[in-house]
Order: sequence, then structure tokens, then C-alpha cells
Amino acid sequence: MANEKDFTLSGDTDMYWREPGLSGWCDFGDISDSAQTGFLRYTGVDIAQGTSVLNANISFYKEGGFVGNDSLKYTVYGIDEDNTAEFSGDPSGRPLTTASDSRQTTMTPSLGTRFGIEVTSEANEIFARAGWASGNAIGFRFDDNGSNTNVRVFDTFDGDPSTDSYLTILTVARPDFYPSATSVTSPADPAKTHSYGIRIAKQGYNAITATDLQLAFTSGKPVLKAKFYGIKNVPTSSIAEVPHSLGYKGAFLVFGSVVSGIYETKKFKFPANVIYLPDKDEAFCYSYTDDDKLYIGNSSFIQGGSQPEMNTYYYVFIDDIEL
Amino acid sequence: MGNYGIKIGLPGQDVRTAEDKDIAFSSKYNTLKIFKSGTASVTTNGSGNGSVDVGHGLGFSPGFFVWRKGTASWQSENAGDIDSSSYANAYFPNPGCPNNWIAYHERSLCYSDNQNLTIEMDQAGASTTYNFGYYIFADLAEAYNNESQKGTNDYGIRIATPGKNALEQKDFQLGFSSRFRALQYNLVKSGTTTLTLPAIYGSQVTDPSPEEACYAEITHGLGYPPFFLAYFKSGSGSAYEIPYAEKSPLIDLGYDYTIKVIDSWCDSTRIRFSFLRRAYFDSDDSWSEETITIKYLIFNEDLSQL
Repeated sequence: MANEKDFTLSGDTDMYWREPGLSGWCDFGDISDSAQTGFLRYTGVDIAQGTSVLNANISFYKEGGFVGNDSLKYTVYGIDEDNTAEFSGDPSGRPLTTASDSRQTTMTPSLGTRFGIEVTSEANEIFARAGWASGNAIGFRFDDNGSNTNVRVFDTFDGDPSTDSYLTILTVARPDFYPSATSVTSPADPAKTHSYGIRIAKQGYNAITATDLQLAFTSGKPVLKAKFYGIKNVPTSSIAEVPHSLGYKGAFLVFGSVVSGIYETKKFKFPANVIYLPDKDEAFCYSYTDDDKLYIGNSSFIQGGSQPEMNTYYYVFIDDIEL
Repeated sequence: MGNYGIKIGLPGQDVRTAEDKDIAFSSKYNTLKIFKSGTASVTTNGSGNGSVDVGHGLGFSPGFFVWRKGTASWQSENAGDIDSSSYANAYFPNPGCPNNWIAYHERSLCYSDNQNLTIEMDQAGASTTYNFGYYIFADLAEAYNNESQKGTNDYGIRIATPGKNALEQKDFQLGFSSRFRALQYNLVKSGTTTLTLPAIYGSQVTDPSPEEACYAEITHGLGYPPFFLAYFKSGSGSAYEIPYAEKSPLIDLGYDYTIKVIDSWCDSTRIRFSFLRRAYFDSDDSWSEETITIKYLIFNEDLSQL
């Protein structure tokens, strides 16, 4: 989108961890009751001087650190300079923006995910500097703000935007966004010029004159061809795997239910909300496939709940869904 | 040992050389066999609860497919609007999943047991009638092997699966039986489309719960609402069936937000797929730009004739 810009880390000297004095690493929070401070820097930020952006957000990649039901508490500042230099040494002495935000984020789910750090106020203060120019570098500092012992997070430089923390700036955008609809017209069925093949009519219809909708079977259209089908138990808090080794993604259907609760003898078609406890707690049952396996799992929608055990029946068709 | 059975190619194919996945039928594989289809209604009580049973008497829990019939109109928590029109006589697949075009779709429960297909509404609109169409297959949704299910005094065409006796196999074991309508899809009408949404995240400054949504419309040209199946993948990931819904990853801390929905519906003119995402600032939701690819199969079934 023209009004949205992403900025990525360009090297080790765009990251700094103050306590060991380490470039290429941004770490903040608490380690053994010692507060940790981290820095990030983004170069080539093509925002004109004086611009007040709508939103600036760092998508911080949780490469490592604490995972669990505890909160990382931190304060974020901007580095109040026109064009902050690389972090080859400790940047702690650099001036900070008046704007700052103290926040907390829960350190769950697991690593390899992201959380957002909004830095709109800090970035706008830097862009408002008389000496700021489009294409300059902007930096941010993250101080611990009372995290519990060993609650911390870190990211290291990988040179890969999918596993590095990046900065996104929205200049002009509606928070609610609705792109134009996509329209596709299905091709017309080809004209039937030859009367060959196999036609099996539904009861009461003449196979010669029946329309396609009046046929039980026509060789003009494929059926879904189930190569793998059968029962699959999904243990508690796990995702079951059904190897199919098709080498592509085939169509699939799954039926089943949780093994205990008011609907334990009932079979739902997945995906489905399944109410499985007397107080009507819900699990959302789903399945998905890659080129080699069908996966069957569920998500508990109750607070602190586990994924319940399920008995399922699956169909994997050899019909290629070409995804 | 020889390879026995029946292979049926599509028009223009050489069945001797075409790949199995591309032909119309092969006795090597099982097919979905439509045992029973029709319509059913649920009228709820003052608490929004109600149910209906459709008897099948198969003695096992069969596979099935349920469609809800109603009027499609865009609904959103954030009062967003991607389409201000309403579409009567629309059909919504998979009751029991969120759908942004009709209320209470996720408040349905559809399930089979060894005697009935049951459609239930739970805490839906009070004193309201909800209309559904259904397909019950002569195919299993559970482990089952009852000898009494063999067909006897039967006629027509029965095609067994490899290594089996067509006279001995039970209906749910057969690759094909002329007693049942085969669920067949229209290869010409089926296809692929994509939807893309940009990055989004909640902001204390601008909007703590932004929303973005878009849709793709397939003009099928059939003149009737067709049975369809659809799957999607995001980027190069795995493929999920549509509908799809995702809750906030912090749900176990009480953040019970639906943050992503991919849903669908059809009528006599179109099949529509929509893609919605939300980001809630207080649960740290954020989304990168995302493109989903959708594959849809349109079947030879007129939902309005159920």
C-alpha cells in the first residue's frame, strides 16, 4: 500500500543490548533481577520532515526470552536525534524523546511469534525535529519497567524480515480498511455436442433426456475420490497427523467429536464449534492439510482450558485442490 | 497381478493415460454417496434454543453436510460495511462456524448419531425460525462394521473397492452404488481466486480495535445456488477448509476476540468469499500483509431443490 511503509534492520549495528555491550542483539526486561535495556535502529526512513504519521509500530519478533503467563513491563523512548548513528557502541548516552510509553505485554504464546510496540508519539517527535530529513535513521530504546525476575524478550539480527523486528509506518489510512471487491466470472460449460459417456439417471428420470441435475452419475463430471479414510483419535492437547503422501494438497473432510461431554456420541462436521462440557464450554474443531499429511486438532475456548481428546473420521481425496 | 476395476475418463481424456486424480471415476477409490437430502427448520424458544432431528436409520453416524438458508447481509462488530446490500435466498455452509454475513451462524450445532442428523440452535435469536438444507451420505463418520448393513435383493450398479466383493460390501464400503446420487463437481466452473489484506494493528492513539475486510465474488452462471466446497491457504502454508475462524492467541487470559474469519455463501448468481481480520490493542494482536488463495469446487447439486 502506498500509505504504508515497512523498514527492516540492515545489520548488527542496528541492534544493541546494553548490559553485556553487544551489537546485533536487542534484549530488554529482567535477568536475575537485573534490568536490561535494548535498542533498535531503522535506516532509510523516507518520511518527510514535519510529517505527523498516523501510526508507527514495531513488530517485535520474539526470538527468545521468557514464555508464560507473566507480563513483560517496559518503557519505550525514541532517540531524539536528527539521524541517529549506528550502534557500534553503547548508545545509552544519546538524548531521548519527551514522548515515551510504558506498557506491558503478556509473554505468551510461544516463541517465534510477534508482538506490537506502538511508537507513534516518539516517531512523530523525531520527524518534527528541524534537522530531520527523509531517508535518515531513527532509533528506539527499550528500558525494563519492573518486570518480574527473568521476564525478558530478545531478538537478534538475522537479515530476514520474517524473523527480524521491523518498523511499519502508516502515513494516511483509515483504521478500518475495506479493499475493493474481487470479481470472477466462472467459464460457461461447453456445449454438449456428442452423446457419449455414462449417464445413470435418478429414479423416475430418463437417462437420455435427464438434465445433469437429474442424474445420479454422469461421466462428464468427476466425483471426489477418497483414497484414505478411517478413524483417527486426537489425544488431549495435540494435533493428530494422517500421512497421505500425495505430494500435493487433496480435498478432505473430517467428522468427529470430543470423547466426553454431552455430545460424545454425536459426530460433527469439522470445522465446528463443539460444546463438550455440561456448562457448555466450547472447542473449535478444525483440520488442514499440506502436501504430505492431514492434520486434525482443536482449540479450547475456555480460559485456561486444554484441547480435549477427540474421536474423528477423515476422508482424504486424491482430487487436487491446487493450493 | 492384473489391475481390475472401472476407470471413467472425462470428455476428451484418454482414461488409459490420465492420472487418477484427474479422471471422473475409478473403482480404486471410495466416493461420497448421497443417501438422503432435504430441508429442515428449527424454531427457537424464548431463550433462543431449539433443535430438529432428521431420521436416517442407518445404524451408524454418517457423514453429512448442512446449509443454512437465509438473507446475506454484512455484519461486523465494528459497524464496518463492505456491502450495504442484502441478498435473499442465500445459502451458508457449515453452521457452527462464524460467518460475517448472517447472525448466529456459530450458534448452530449440527451432528449425526446412529439414528438422526440433528440441527440445533443454541442461544440464538428468541422465538425465531431458522431454515436449513441437508445432505446425509451413506458414508461413515465413525468406526462401524455391522454385518446387517449388507445390501440384499438389490439391483442397479454396485462397484466395489479393490479386492472386495461387490455382492458382499456394505453400502458405505462401496466405491459407487446407483442407489445413491454421487457427489460430483463441475471442473469447468470450479476455480481459484485470491484475497489480500494489508498490515493492521491496534493503536491506543488512533483505533484500539481496527478492522479490515474484503470479498471475492464468483459469478457462477448456473441460475441456481450450487453446493460448493472451498479451501484456502495463506501464503505458502497449509490448506484449511472454509469457513475458518481464529481467536486471539491470548484467549486463555480472557481475550475472547475473534480476530480472523474466512467465510462464504452462495445464491443463484454468485458464490462470495470474504476475508476479515481484526486487531485488538489490549491483546497485542497485529497482522502482517496477507494474501489468501482460495480453491472452490462447485458441485452438481441445486440447493434450492432440496
